[in-house]
Amino acid sequence: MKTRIIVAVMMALCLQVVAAEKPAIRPKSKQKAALKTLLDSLKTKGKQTRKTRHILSLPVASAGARGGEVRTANRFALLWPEGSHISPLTALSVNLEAAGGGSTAGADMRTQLTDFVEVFPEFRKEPLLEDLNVLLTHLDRP
Amino acid sequence: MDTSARNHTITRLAMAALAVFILCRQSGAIEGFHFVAEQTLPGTTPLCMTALGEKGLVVLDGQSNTLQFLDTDLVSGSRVTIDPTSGVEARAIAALAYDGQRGEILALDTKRRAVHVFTIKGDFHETIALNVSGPGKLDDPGYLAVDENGILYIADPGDDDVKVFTRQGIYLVTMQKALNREGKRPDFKPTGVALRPDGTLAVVDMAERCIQIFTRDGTHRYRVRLEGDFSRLEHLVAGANSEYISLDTRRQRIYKWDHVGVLSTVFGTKGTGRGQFHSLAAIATDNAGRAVILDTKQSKLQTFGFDQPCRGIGSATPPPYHHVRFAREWRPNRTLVAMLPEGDLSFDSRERRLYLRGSDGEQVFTDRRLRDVSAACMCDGLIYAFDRGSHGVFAFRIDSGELVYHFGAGRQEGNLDDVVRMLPGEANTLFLADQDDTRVKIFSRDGIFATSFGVKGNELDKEISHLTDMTWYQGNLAVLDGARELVHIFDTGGRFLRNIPLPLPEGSVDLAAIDTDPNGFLVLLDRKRPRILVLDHDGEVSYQFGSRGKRVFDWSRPTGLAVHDDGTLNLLDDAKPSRVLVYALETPGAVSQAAIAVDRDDRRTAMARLGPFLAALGTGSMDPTRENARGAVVAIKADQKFRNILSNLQREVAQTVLGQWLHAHPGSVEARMALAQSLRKAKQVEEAVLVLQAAPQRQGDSRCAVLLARYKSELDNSGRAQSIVTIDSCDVPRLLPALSQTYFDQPVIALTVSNTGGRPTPPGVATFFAKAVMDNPTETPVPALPPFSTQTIACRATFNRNILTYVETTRLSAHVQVKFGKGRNVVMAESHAGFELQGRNSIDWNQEDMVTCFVTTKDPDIQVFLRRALSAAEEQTIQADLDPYLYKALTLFDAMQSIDLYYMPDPTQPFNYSRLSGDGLIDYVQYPRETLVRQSGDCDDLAVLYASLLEGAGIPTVLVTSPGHIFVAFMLKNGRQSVDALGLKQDHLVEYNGNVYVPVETTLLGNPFVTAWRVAADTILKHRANDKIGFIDLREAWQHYKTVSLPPHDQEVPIPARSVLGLLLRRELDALNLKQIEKRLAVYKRWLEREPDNQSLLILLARSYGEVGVFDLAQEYADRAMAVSPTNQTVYQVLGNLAFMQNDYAGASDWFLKADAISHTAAIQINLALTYLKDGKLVPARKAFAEAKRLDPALVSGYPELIQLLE
Repeated sequence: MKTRIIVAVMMALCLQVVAAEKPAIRPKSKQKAALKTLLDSLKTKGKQTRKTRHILSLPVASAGARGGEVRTANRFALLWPEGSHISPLTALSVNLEAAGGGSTAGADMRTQLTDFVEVFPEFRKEPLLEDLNVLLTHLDRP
Repeated sequence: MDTSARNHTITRLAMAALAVFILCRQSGAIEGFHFVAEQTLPGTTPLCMTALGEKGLVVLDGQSNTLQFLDTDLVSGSRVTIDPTSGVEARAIAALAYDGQRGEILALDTKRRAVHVFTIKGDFHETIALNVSGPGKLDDPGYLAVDENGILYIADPGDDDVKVFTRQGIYLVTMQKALNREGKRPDFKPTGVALRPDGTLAVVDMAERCIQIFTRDGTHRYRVRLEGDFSRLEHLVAGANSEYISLDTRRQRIYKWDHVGVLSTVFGTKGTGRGQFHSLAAIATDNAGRAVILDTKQSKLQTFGFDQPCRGIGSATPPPYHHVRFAREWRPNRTLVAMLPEGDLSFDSRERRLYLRGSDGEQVFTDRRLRDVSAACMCDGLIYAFDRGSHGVFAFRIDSGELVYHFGAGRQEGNLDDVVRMLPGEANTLFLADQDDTRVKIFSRDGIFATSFGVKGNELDKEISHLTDMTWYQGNLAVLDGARELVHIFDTGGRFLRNIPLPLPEGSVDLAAIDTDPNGFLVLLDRKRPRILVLDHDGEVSYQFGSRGKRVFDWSRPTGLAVHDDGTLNLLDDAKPSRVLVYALETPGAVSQAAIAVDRDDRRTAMARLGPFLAALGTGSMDPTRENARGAVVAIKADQKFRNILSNLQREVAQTVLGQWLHAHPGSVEARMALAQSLRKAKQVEEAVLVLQAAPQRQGDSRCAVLLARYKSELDNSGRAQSIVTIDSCDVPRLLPALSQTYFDQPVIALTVSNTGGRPTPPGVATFFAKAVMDNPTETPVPALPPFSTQTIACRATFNRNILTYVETTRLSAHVQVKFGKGRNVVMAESHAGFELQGRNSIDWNQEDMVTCFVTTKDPDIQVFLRRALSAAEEQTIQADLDPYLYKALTLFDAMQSIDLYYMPDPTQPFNYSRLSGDGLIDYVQYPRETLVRQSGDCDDLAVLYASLLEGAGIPTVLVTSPGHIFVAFMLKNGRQSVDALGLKQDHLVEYNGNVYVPVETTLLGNPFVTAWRVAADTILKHRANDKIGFIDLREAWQHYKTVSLPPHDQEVPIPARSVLGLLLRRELDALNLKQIEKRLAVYKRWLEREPDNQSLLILLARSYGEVGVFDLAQEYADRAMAVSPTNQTVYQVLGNLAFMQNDYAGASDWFLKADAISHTAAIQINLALTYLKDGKLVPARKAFAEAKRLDPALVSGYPELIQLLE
């Protein structure tokens, strides 16, 4: 009886592992659909953070502007046009989208993602990018 | 040695000394000369020339009929063709002369007997016709001179004389040599004329191989025998020291003599080389005293200099005593009876009417008995007219024209036959000159005969041979005896006094009329020559003029004259038809006559003429007019010559008049010398020396200098000299408190001290003490002052800190003292000087290095500020691998930002519109502490603050000036390689004195440091090409301009906040790390590669690069965005922002206005307001800001300072 209980627990654990790895064993078409969804989410996020310009590490000129971030001493700052900033997330998603067609798309996209996170360390903890990383890891698997 | 041998030796020595003296004298006479320049005028036939003073020369070319102008170095200038319509033929021109007073070139025309006048530019002006007949007729005129008064002197070798004309062409006199003992006129061959400095005329006389000297009234004075073996001299130049130069036109040589005719230089031969001539034609002297020689056949000019320059005097000659000017003519339409001051009286014999033509019209007097009126006069409101027909005098009332009474006819005694002149006399008398019985008859004015006088005859003095005319003369009656050619003087009672003989050298005359001019000269008409003679009180002809001819002022049959009280001379020419010529005749007044009498040692006349003036002097005061000054000079001269004719009071008044006159006319040598002589006579030799010493230097006039040397020598020998010290002036310029520490080493106060005594002073000290801003008087050593000397001393001054408490311009006064010697021998003078102290923030940009006085690195507040900033930076966990100076500079730049310090242009007084005040640009510069407290400043304030912080942190700093702007550059410790990693271009650094400097635009506080850096570097690049960048090395400038210390204060100076500073520093480091930025932008660029026309991306890149100051890339992306969609409001706004960041405010406002035309938003209005504000345009800035507020109040609320400034 004791042995049966142990076997049952082990099987349950195994099933759980199998269940956890379920996406990885999704078909390619489904993976691509998931990628597209992720990239769309990135674009949306990019639009939401459009005004958060400090990610370019050049906050100064927008100081004093509406929705202000770092408020500096420049109280005579020029105003830049509303549409003069695009979030790096948007740029990244556009670039990844464009790279998605080739046979080595996964590797290429992962390189871009790695470079991006390195250049923009503030996005290292971004959940969407983590998901993207996982997805891209599986995308290149046969 | 025995006595005889000694005597013999002495004799031999004396002989030797004499021989040496003679040799020296002879050798001393030989003067050196040297060739200076030459100029050939090819293709021309230069005929004559004249010097034009400073303007060079003019040469007349006979070939092309032109005037060629040359400068003093013989460089050809303009060439003017003579106007063909003027009728001037160059070939007929014998000589040129220059009238410097009127700026005219005169050309003597031998063919037309005229002088042509050209302007200084060579344009024909007019012709002065000189074609008179009679003695003034020109036969073969050849040489011309003109004096300052325009009088023309024409040497006429054809007639062997020199003829003188006025500028109008009125013939005055002929200059000839005086008759010799045998009554013959010596030979005279004039071949050159020149004016001498004293106004006399020098004429080359080849008959006697000498120079004849004539006075201007035509009197021959003396001759100067000329040394030398010349053959034929022509042309003459007289120098300022009466030296002469002439040309030997046969032997082609140039001669120069001194004033007594001793030959000093001779040179020249025939030939074509230097100093060789073929056909000498003219000579002139330039301003440097060099002789310019014209050679016609060689068409060449050569200039020679002399050891003793011969400066021609030009036309600078003293004015003559007499002058005549033709005014007008008029033609009477009836027989003219009398030319009275009140009008002209004429008679119509047919109508038997008498007409008085006055200024207010014509009046008629008539009586049936009138038949032939021959004389008339006016007095007491009546006209008295003598009628030859009825032998009576008719008296008419002038106002009504009615006949009052008639007298004279039919009486036994006192009958009238042929009255030629009627004169009203004193005591209601009338004097009538009756030519028929040669008597002067006296009537009362109501027609009652009183008496008569005059004896006909020609033996005794009082006998009158022919009573021609009469006039009043010095209170007596002057009766002209035309037959005996003399003037009888009778008193009013008829008693004979004396005769004035008229010994005229020209032979017989026909004297027809006499009158007296206002200055007491007798004026006679000689009908024979004809001419007007002006006689002085001795009967000497002092002036004459008039000629027969066909010109407007020539005469035909002159018959009568009248001189009125205003000096106008009316001459009746009884030609057909008869006419009256009106002249303005000027004769010397009483003072001038006195001057002549003093010169002639004629005390009686001098005193008689000076009488009224001396009486005026005796009143104790007199205005310093020209006439009074002249009178004072003559009175003092007379006092010197005739011994003590002036009382002490008169002398003092004369001195005062002269002193005042000299104050206004310092160049008046006569007045100065007279004053000095008068002072010396009053034993005030030191004052006399001062008067002479104040004489301005005049070339060629050493009279004052000679007298000065004499008086000084007298004073030295007298042993009475003493030192007299005076402070003439103390000029304190505007003092700038910022320079207060500099005024000791570089004194600016000019103290002028004079020793007006004849004894030198010992060395002394000058003290300057302005109590309000100084603790003690500051002393400056003064060297010894020689006698009669003036010295200007630069006075030191040491100011205390109070001087920095004056914030506004304030007037203060100082006590000034000079002290020479010690103890009892001390000589001193003191005075007070007012001066203007500028406010403590004043700076004079003419001495831009003085801005370093404001860089107060040791100010405690500055030290606290920078130490806090640097320690805060060290506490930050920022790992910066930067040059240590760069990191500190960056920290201090951010520290200034962190306390909300901002650039605030002063709209009323920015740096580039500094107030032009007096002789300098006075601007306002804040001390660093003031800028910190006020948290704002313009470019100079921020530059001074930043420089103070940098130097306080030990970073070598320079201030950089560009046109209208100033900013800062600091040195990099590790040189150029220390910033290579930053990806900056090489031209972002500045080399100065072998070190590498980082320029920083301090007005860009609020922007990243790197932007301020790039903008400053761009400014340097822009202006360096034009060499308009200046560097003020603080450490070097401090050697001369000491920093001042502000007094303590109790205002709180802001301290940089650590948190804000840390944030700003991180940002700065990011901005500095361009490579990092490039990596970040890579994600956008990758996208752009696929979508090169994505305007949003292009705009983003333009903005991003612009924000870090990479304007070339920013502009490139902006241009691409523009190309994609040229009418995008966003693009316009970005372009405007980029222009703004590069300080192109005009361009920025253009872009913003374009953007605004597409979309009217608050953001663009705010940008516009900022642009206008930066550009100094307050009104449009306020308008734009108000519009922004209307559109989006919330957005505007983010700009509290703008609200404060623009609302």
